[in-house]
Amino acid sequence: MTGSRKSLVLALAALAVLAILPFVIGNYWLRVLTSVFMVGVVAQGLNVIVGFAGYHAFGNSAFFGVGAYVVAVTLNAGWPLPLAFVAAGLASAVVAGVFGWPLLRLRGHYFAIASVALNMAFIEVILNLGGVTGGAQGLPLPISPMAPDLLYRIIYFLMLGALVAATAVVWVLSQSRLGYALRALKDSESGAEVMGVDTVRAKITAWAISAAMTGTVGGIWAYWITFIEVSSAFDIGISMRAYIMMLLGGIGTVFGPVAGAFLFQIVATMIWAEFTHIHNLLLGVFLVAVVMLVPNGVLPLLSRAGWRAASARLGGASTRLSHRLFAREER
Amino acid sequence: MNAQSNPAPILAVRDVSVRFGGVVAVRDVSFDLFPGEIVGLIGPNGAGKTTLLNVVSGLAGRHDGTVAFDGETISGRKPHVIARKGIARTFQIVQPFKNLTVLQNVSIGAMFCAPNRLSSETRALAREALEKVGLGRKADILPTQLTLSERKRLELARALSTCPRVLLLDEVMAGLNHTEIERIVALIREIRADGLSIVVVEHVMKAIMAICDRIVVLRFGEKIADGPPDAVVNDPHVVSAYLGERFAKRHAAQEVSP
Ligand SMILES: Nc1ncnc2c1ncn2[C@@H]1O[C@H](COP(=O)(O)OP(=O)(O)O)[C@@H](O)[C@H]1O
Ligand SMILES: [Mg+2]
Repeated sequence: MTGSRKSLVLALAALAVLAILPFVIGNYWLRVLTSVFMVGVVAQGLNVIVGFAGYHAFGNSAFFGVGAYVVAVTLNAGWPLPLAFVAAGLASAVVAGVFGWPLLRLRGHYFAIASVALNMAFIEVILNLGGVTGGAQGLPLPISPMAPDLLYRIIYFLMLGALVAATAVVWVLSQSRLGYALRALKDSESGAEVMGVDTVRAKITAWAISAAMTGTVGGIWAYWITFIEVSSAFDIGISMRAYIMMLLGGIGTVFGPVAGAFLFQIVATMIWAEFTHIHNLLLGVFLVAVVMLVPNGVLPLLSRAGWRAASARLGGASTRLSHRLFAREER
Repeated sequence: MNAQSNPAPILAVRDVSVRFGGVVAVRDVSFDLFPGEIVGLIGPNGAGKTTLLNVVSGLAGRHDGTVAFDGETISGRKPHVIARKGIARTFQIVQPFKNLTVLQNVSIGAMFCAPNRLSSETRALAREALEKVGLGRKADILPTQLTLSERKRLELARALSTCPRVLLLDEVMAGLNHTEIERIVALIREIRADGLSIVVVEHVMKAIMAICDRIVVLRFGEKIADGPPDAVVNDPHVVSAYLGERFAKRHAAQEVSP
């Protein structure tokens, strides 16, 4: 109880700072933070289906793209902005429902592959569709009449609002029957079923929620950059970055993906700036280190038990390493 | 508590067959479970006991034959539907939800088998099931911290939390020592006294003989015996197929000099 109250106070304090920041910082940092919020929402979306249900939706970027295209097409058709964003979230949820219905009946890893295939299928469909989607040429959006400085600050707050909303949804989920159903089926689907859980329905609902989050920020992103094409809208790299953030912060926790998003961005910015020529390598090393040393993410480290477990793992790893080095010297 | 006093079975399995590719795991098996009865389901490894329980709980997939619960056909229904109707089970290989506490593990059944239940009632029900199996003091730890005996009892509590009328137990005593087995035996008796009807799959013959009103024997997927414990363990077919001569002699000796 006190732990969750502490994190709530922390979150509110961080929120207050983030609300003031756009009036203090320049456009570079504004852009960095806006994209942290954006990928943070994608990470929360993954958290729902991967963290809670244990279904690895590597291809969740499909919904980012669907949301982006829905906003682009509806804005071009003259829809009001809020309606376009709602349509993006809803359409993504519907896509997840329709494809989840057959795919989430399959247990385990088929789903991970099928979700990636879904992303690729959308690329093909839009490339061949042409017309309102622009096909291979890409699709420009109506340019906002607002001054850029104001517009970028509005988009900053839209993305921040989306992150707050997504985190609130995950918090509600963690307390709800659906949340319990997902955490149960993550470990044993048969076990959950014989205790009365409709696992297929729970999984589809989870993926639809996940998709709605991802699709909505995809839509805001399209409005932000004003020109979209399949390679950037359906970029699986967004899923991958969100994945690292989620793992880094703590899979299946409420604030983990948010903490992970900021931490990842700090590390990535440092690496990008200092070692531009080997940043992928360093990022890879970083990811492996995270998975080995803090498999439950950094959030549990805030508690004493979590810290002890992590130092024990670190100690174990260094002992093993020294044993190995020592053995080699003896030979 | 036998067929004569309660003519309508609460569970009626009729002509059930299950095939896995070329393997016939269960062949034309029929048996009844009457209200308040404890039926032992025994037989060598691979005889089809677990598969038969899977058919009843809806996990087996395609199969022939029918299963009726309280007069209503349930074969072909989804496992969660069957669970909500009142059939609970444990798994031979325990399947705890590792990222939920012991109490939360048990709450799942209480939560999903009566969807309109208040969360306070859910918690009370889960607590009650935990107390019953003697895990009340382990409520807030993770199941990975439990001993095997405690995990088996957690499996039982999870089944009880669904408020079942029929309970299917798949080798809840396997791997346990004498004292732990006696504890489970007492627990099963208590559960029956609460009004449940129980199918017990078990290799521990002493326990089977102690608690069962009737024993059904499977071999290579076929039912080879069905009757009162004493008659079944003295059946030469059962002795040669499963129990072995040594058990038969020991059992006969016990009967002569109790
Ligand atoms: N999912 C499955 N796929 C293929 N064969 C199976 C499967 N489950 C069980 N079997 C086979 O069915 C037979 C009965 O198994 P099982 O019901 O587990 O026996 P028991 O519980 O009596 O030891 C065995 O030959 C087993 O190998
Ligand atoms: Mg078995």
